[in-house]
Amino acid sequence: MANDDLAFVGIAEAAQRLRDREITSVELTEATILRLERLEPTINAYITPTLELARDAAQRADADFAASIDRSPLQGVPIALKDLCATHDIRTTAGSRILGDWVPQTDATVTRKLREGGAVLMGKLNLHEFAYGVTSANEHYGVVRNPWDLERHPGGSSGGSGAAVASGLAAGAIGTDTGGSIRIPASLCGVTGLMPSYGRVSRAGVVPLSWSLDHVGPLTRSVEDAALFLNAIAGYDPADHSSIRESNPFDAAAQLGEPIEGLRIGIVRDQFLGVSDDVARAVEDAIEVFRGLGAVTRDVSLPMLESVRALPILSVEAAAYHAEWLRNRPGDYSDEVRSLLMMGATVSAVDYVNALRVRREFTDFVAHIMRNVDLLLMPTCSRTASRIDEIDASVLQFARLTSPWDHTGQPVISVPCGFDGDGLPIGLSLAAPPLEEALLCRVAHAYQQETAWHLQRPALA
Amino acid sequence: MPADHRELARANLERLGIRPGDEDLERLAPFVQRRSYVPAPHLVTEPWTLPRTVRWNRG
Repeated sequence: MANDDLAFVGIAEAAQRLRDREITSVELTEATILRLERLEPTINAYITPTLELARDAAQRADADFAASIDRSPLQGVPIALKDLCATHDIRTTAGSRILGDWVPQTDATVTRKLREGGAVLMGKLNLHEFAYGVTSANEHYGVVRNPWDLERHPGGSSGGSGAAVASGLAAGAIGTDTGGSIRIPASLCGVTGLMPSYGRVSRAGVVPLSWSLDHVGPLTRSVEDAALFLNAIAGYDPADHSSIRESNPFDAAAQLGEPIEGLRIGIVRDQFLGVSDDVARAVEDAIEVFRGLGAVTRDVSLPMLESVRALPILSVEAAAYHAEWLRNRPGDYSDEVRSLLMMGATVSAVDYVNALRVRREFTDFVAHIMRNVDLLLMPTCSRTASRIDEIDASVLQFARLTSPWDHTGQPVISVPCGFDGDGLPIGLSLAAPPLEEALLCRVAHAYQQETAWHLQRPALA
Repeated sequence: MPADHRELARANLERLGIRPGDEDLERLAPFVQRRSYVPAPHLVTEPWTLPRTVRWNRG
C-alpha cells in the first residue's frame, strides 16, 4: 500500500488491520509522519507536533498488540488533539499568546482517555485563538489553510482538526463546539464532525469558551470512525459538573448497519433561508438519498431560530472567563478576539438572564417538535469556505445555522454531501434527541453507505 | 458613530475594570448601537410564563 494511502486508513479499518497483523502501528504512524512533514508547512494544522512521542506511542501499541493487550479501537491509531485540551507534558496554548508557555500539570480527561486507550497522539492542533472564531486564521500561530483550496480557511474554531483529518495528517482529531466549532470545519473541510450531547464527553481540563455551551467531540473521515472515537472518550467524569451519568452502557456504534426505513426525518426549512444554491442543491439531493433508504421526510418549522441565533450567552460567558486577562493583559489578544470579548462584557445582566430563559423555551420547543420526528436535517453552513484574504466581521455568519444546537445540547453530526462549483466541500447536519448518538450515527452511517462524498480526498501535492 | 454609544461601551467596560483603547471602542460601538435587548419569554409566548428555575423534588 502506498504511503499516502496508508495515511488515509480510517480508525475502523486501522483497528481491524492492526489486530489482523496486516499493518503495524509504527507503519501507520510513520506514513502519517511522512505526509505531515511534507504537507504541514503548507497546511499549518499543528501548533505543536509531537512526532517523537508519537513514535514511542506507536511502539508501545505494537508491543501491546503482540502481548494481546487491547485497550480500545484507537490503540495504535494516529490521533491529534485540539490545542485547547490540557496535556501534562506538552504546552497547551489554546491558540493564544496568553497561554503560549503553559505546560499543564495534569492531562484533560479526554487526553487521559486517549492515552489510556492506546491512541498515538500526533500533537496539538491549531485553532482560532481561545476557540473564539470560525476561521482559524490565528494571529499568533499562523493561518490554517483549507486542504481543498489553500487560499481559503478551513472553518473554525477547530480548523486545525478539520484540516488535519481531511489531509491525512491524523486519522481523527478532537474538536470542541460552542457555536459550531466541530461542525463548521467538518463541513468546510469535507470530513465528519460529531458534536455529542452536552455532558457526554468531559470538559475537565479543556480551556473553556462558554461553559454552558461547550462540547467536546471527534472529527473523522467517516461516521463509523466518529462513533468508535466517541466511545473511547465518552463517559461520566465527576471533574465536570455537567457530565452525564447514564445507567446503560454507552455505545455510539450500537446501531450501525441497522436499516433506517420508516424513520421520520424533519427537514428544518428555516435553515435553508439564505443558503447558496450549491449548498441547497446538495442537501436536497441528500434528502432524496434518505427517502431512497426508506426514511419518511417532512418539513418542520422552528420560528424561534432567529431569536436564538442572536442570544448573547456565549459572548457573556466568554467575557466572564476572560475578564481578568482583559483587565491585565488586553494587548496579548488579537484585536478581533479582544473586541468579541469586550462585546460580551457590555451585555446587561437582564439580557443574559432573559437569554437563558429564551434558550430554555427553545429547547422545550425543539423537544416538542421531536415528538413527531426522529431526527432533524439541515445544511451545516450556508456556504462553502471563503477566501482567507476576504475574512471580515461577516465571517461569523458561518455559525448562523450551527449555533442554535449548542443551546439545546442535543447531538448533531455533520457529514459531507457534495461539492460546489469550485470543488469545495458541502456538509449536511443531522440532529437527534439528547443522548441518542447511536441513532444519529446509524442514520448518518446509512447515508455514507449510499454515497461516496466522504471518501473524496483533496488533491494536495 | 454617536459618541454616546462609545461612552456607553466604555462605561460598561470600566465598571468591570477593563480599559478599552480608542480602537476597541471604534470596533465595539457599532455592535452596542445595533444591539437590541433580549425579549423576555413572557413577551413572546404568554404573559403568565414563569421564569424557569431550580425545582427541588423530595424523594
